[in-house]
Amino acid sequence: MIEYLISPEFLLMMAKIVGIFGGVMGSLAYLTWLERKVMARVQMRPGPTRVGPFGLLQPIADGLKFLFKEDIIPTQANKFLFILAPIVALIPALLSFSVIPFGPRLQVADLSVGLLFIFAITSLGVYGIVLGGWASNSKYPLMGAMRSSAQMISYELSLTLSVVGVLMIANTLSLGELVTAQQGTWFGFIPRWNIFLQPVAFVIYVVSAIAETNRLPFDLAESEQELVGGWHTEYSSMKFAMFMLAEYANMLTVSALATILFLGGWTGPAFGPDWLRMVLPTIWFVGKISVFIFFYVLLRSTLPRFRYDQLMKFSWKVLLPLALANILITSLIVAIS
Amino acid sequence: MKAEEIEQKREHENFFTTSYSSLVNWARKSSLWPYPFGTACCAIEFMATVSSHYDLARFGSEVVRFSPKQSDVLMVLGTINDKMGPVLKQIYDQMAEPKWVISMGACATCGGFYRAYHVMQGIDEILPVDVYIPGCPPVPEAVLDAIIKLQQQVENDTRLSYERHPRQQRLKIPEVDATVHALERPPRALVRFLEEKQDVQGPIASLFKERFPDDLISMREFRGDLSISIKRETAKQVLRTLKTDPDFNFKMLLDVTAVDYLSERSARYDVVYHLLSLSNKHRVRIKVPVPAEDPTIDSMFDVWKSADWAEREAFDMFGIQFKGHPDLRRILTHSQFVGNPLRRDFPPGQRTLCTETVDLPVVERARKYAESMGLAQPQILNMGPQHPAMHGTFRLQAAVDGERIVDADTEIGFLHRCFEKMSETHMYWQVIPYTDRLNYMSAMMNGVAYAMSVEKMFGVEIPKRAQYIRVILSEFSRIADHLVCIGTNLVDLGAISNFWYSFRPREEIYDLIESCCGGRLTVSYVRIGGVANDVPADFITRARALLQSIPKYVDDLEKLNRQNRIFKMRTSGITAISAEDAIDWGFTGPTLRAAGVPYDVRKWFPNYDYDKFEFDIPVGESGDVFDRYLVRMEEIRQSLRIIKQALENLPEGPVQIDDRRISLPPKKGVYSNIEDLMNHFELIQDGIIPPIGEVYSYWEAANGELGFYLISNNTKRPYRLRVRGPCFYIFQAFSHMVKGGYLSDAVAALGSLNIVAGELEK
Repeated sequence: MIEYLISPEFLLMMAKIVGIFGGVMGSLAYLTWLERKVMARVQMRPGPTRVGPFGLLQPIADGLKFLFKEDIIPTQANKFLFILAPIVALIPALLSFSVIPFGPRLQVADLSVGLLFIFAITSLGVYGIVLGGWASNSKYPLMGAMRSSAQMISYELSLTLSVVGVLMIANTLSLGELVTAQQGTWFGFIPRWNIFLQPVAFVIYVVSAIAETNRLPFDLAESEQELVGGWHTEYSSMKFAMFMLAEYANMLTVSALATILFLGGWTGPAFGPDWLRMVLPTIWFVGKISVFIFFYVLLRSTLPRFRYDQLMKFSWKVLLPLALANILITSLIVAIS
Repeated sequence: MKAEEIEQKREHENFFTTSYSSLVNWARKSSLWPYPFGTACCAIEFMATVSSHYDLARFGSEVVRFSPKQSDVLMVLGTINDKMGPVLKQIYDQMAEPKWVISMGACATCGGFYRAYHVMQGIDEILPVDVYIPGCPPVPEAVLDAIIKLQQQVENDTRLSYERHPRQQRLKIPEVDATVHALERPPRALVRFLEEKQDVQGPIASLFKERFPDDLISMREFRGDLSISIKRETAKQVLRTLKTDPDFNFKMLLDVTAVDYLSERSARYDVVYHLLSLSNKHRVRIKVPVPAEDPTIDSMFDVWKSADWAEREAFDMFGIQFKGHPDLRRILTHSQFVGNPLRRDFPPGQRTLCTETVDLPVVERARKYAESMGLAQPQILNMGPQHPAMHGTFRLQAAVDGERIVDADTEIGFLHRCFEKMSETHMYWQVIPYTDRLNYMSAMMNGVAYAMSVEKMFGVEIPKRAQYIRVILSEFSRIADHLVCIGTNLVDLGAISNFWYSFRPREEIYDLIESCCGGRLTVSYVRIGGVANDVPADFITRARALLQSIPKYVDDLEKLNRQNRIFKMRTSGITAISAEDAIDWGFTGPTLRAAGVPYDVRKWFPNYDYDKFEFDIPVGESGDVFDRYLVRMEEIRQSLRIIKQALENLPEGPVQIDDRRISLPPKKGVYSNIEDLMNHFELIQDGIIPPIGEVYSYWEAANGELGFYLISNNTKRPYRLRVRGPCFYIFQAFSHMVKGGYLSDAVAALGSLNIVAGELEK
């Protein structure tokens, strides 16, 4: 046992875990900064500038403030579930990063069923929202939770189905292998990314992913102007911050997954000295994720929100049939070739 | 290490000392998330603070949380009245420690100039305040300053516990009598004037005399207003005939109110109806005397739906019982209020403190319905008055079935600031600042409408240049108002950036208005008989520049939304209203035009050369949220057209009428001859004294017909000033419009109606 604990593999593993966890947590905090900054620029204003240079210390101040804020548990609430809910929301959201390949070897665990693992884990997140809304014993959170559960279950279907086409082409569920399968180019200049083989699936995936993460135009569960704060209306201090972190973590997960499935993950041109060749894949990966994040923030600052029934219609009557048709056509092509 | 050593090290080696508390305080001060408890004008200036010109986000304070548990600073923006008091207290109690309170504006701080029966004289009656911002309303810079002050306060805080300093917890003793001026009794002359019989000629008058010889008490015409007194017993039949008979065709009931003559007249009250015939372009005022010993009259709710809230208001304010009204409750004052405040013998500042909020009838209705059908207890959802979509002051209580609204009721009065009583206790020119705070989105237009009513009472016409200045600035105000409406409506739909896109041009309009009178939001620029002073020399250049820049912003908004599928899905068909219903509910302005009725005071009853300007009246088809958006957008463009023409033809000349009863004499005269000196003295001391009479004057404000019904008894204060706010009539239909729709539809609809609390609740 002791030998294992001091073995290089274990230490490397620990280093990876600490590195990825720290990196993810840090980037989650700075996602809020990025969102506030980008939205501010869209809205013709500077955004946070006073707290640190370019407002860079803003997320730290916010986080610290939440730590020292009074933690209110409403008397009418179901205490156990009320406390459990943010934990249930955050932990699965963070767990999914354990199988995501940030680089050729920068992956905590390359499970052979990595993709399934992510889908299984992230769908647990909805319990956090539902429990939070229900345990608050208040009407707005309950409505938010209701909306959210209906929405997430509907969109999870199309999200999962949109991926099936990719899986049929790649013949694997391991995220590492999914990426390596996309290495190389066609005709020397088009990268062998799945987006070119599965454009429809890509669109379905991106749309469903926004809905999965409760972002505008699908942020019905939170919808500030209708439900005050949605499912987390009654939460204060760190519990509220945990919900927010979970939301951003989910955003990161779906973007990472979109990159891995459709945009070739960490693949990209490698050049320069050895150390650069080591770092470049991770830079490509982070860069591709950033494009998605940027896109989400832009969407949030542009579009109005769907109505509940329109959202459900869109999922069941548009996205789901489209995803099924995509599977059918892909399987036909795969079968023929 | 000794202390000096540390000091030395810090200086020479960048040695960094800090302590736990300063770290915590730094975090707290850098992340002050506001809870905007917005009620009135100050909330608009707070919105301006968040907008691109000032950007509160720079301080990390832009994360506006509407859940009290997630916010740090309770920003009380605007007047808090007694009805709102318990709500404010509840929100404060729900906030998580540590929490701070900023009181923005004179009203929140001390009641401001509302020394009135329904206004809390400062929020420190119920909760401790950390920073007060002076001003009415404070400019955005003052808000930023308050945030910085609060940050300093937080930074210097040495305690880590949530406990407050005893000094900060001390509350003010409520000031239950805020009366400043008592009211005088009406002179006999006014009553004599009103009772005087006059033989009036004219199409409506002759027809009326022919049809209802027995019901008629008296008839008189004053400054072109026809007013007819009829007997109480048959009033309902007469009014019903006036509506249904094609010869009269008074399809729209503009206003119902009452007037109190104390014991100077045998019948103490008059119930006053203002009617409008859209087909014949006629207006008439019907008055029904009601005695004090039996203050009852038939309700007109089943004739015109628009009588609904207006009658409730007359009941609330005068204690007149409307027989057959389906839901006769207090509307503006709170449930514990004692007395009928607009009666002449009610002391203007006599407050009744309020400690409770009550359920609306919908709760009982839904429960009974559920019982009769054998269903489970209905789910009642309370939205507001502090709800992000309810503009801070309206309350919607709805029985919901999942996401659908089955039944709903609205409650108003959370911003009732006693405008009408305040006007009765102030001199004519002192009323102008109060009018600014009616529809604070376009304050200029209220002032114009009010000044017009006094000018009509005098029977004078103001100089052309003053007219044109009023037109230009009013149209700019209309644009600003529409932009706020569209922007906030889109925010309610989730499209947040539109708020910044629509506030930017509005801010530029404010710059222009500020250059004329020094005020941004509440301008007080209009004077009776003209405007306060001439416009600055570069006015035309500035205004022309605006004409260039505003269309760009409007086009941007249009590009972002008009073709947007989600926007269309959310708005088309939502709370559509037919033209007949809209007229019956007393809709005016863009909401009526969206329903397909091209009624616009500027075209139908033009004054100020509106008949010489070329402009079109945009008309919608279905009266839904999308049509209202389109109509407003087009009206912005039409207003720009009007401004362009007015700028081209802006005449030279004085901006104040040359009438010694109204305007101050020239300074040169005051210093050189006794007549002008006396005149100046009298005007300052006694103010403007119009002749005895009663007029109803109206003006196309941004939300519709803004009417002032003014009774003068030849003293320096109005005897009665009734304001017909267009919102009041639009909002009463709201609870009926949202039934059967989704919750989200109600949110979309409310934004599109552009309900402004100051005007709605007076």
